[in-house]
Amino acid sequence: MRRRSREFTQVRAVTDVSFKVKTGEVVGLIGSNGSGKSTLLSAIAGLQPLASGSIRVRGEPTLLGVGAVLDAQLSGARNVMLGCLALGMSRSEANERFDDIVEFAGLRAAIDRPMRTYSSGMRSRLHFSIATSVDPDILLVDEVLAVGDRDFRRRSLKRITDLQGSAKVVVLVTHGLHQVRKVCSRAIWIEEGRLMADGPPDDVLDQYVAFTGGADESLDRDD
Amino acid sequence: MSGPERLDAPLADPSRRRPVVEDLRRIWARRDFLLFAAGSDLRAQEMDTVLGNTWHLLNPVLQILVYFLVFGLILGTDRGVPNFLPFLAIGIFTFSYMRKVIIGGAKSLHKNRGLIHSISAPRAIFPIAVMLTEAAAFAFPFLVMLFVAVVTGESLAWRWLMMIPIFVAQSLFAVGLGFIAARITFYFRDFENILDFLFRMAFYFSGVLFFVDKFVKDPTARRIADLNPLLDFISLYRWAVLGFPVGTRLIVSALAWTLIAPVAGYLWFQRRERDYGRE
Repeated sequence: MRRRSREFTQVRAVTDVSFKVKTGEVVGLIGSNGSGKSTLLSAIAGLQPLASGSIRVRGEPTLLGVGAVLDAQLSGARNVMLGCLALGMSRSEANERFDDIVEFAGLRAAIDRPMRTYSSGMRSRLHFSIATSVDPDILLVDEVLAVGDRDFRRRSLKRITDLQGSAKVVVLVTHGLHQVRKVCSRAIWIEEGRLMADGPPDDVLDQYVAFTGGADESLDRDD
Repeated sequence: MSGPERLDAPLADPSRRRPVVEDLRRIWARRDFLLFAAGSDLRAQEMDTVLGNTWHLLNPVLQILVYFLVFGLILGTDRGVPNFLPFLAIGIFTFSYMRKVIIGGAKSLHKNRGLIHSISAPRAIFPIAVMLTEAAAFAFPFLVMLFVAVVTGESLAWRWLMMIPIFVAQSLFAVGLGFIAARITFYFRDFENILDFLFRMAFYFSGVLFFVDKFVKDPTARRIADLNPLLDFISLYRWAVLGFPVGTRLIVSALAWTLIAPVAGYLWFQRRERDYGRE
């Protein structure tokens, strides 16, 4: 991946950020709110046209975000199908994974109810379960880790680690610094769209924590 | 973690504009999603109402009653049309199907911006999904239309089967214009309002409420009217169900629209594929 920036109506979200990710790497992308992490991730997924610079990938990147596809009026079950099909599965593949998804989300009893009757925790669990049911070449994860209760967070972290087995590259956007230390092989820190540090998670995170005054780290220690 | 295993795909720009063949293949790969989403949309539409899905049937019935009262009984636009009620039903329902597909197509990129930002499917699926949803929804007015025809004394004929190819042709035409409307609306949101107005006008110029042959006497005007695709498709239905005559020019025009609109519309839409993720 080379230098890139995205510009539209005077917003230059990411500028002059260059890096290269090799197969087998799990990259944690960190930075404050509005630093351009999510823009960068969706650019890697091919969802953002670039004003300049370029991105090159091998294989099809899959961004784990299916929230937009789901319809609160429909039952959880229909949403599972909708989400799977939107991620590019065929109907038979979706049927095959249906039980696992429902099981993982812990929603067996509620799956036939309309999704609008779900609590926000139940919804995010369903999103996460659907989103992580694919096995892509390049997996891009945007802030889906910090959902649900402790037990679910623990299981979802494990799920991401499992996915690393099948995915060749994982890029993770998160505020959970503890998660980065735990699952990532490399961390990239960007701030105001500029690359601040890139290297082993511990080094990069130490710099980041020093920069922010250590605010983030304690949030998720209990994972 | 498993040992790094090199991906053998070539290095490519993830936001590149795909060649048409690849794009079509990717659309085809999403067919299950398209069909399922269309069914789900239809299901969600009337979910909060007491009568639920009955509204899909009640709406067209009520609609046809209003037009029949105003235009048939009060204004008397039925002159020269022996069986006005099915004539009117065909006009209104098939016109409104095309209108919904095209206006829905125009809105589809904006309406699905959440999806556009989260899945990398070909953008052409959005106008197509609108068409499929509306096609499924058309089953209800279609049944009302046939019911009205039978009740008012039309007898079943083999000709009625021609409604199937006419419907397919009409859908292809409409989704083609849906593509065009989608691209224009993406760069120029005001087009939604303009389109609304255009359809209000087209409603009166497409013989929805009256038999064009009785009103348009001037041969040049009649020839021009034959090129109006909305009128073409409505007239073809009226031929199939009620046996109204259609001229060769009208048939050729309908065929041309059926073939040219989707191909040209899709190609023109797809040229700007890369832009549609922008806000």
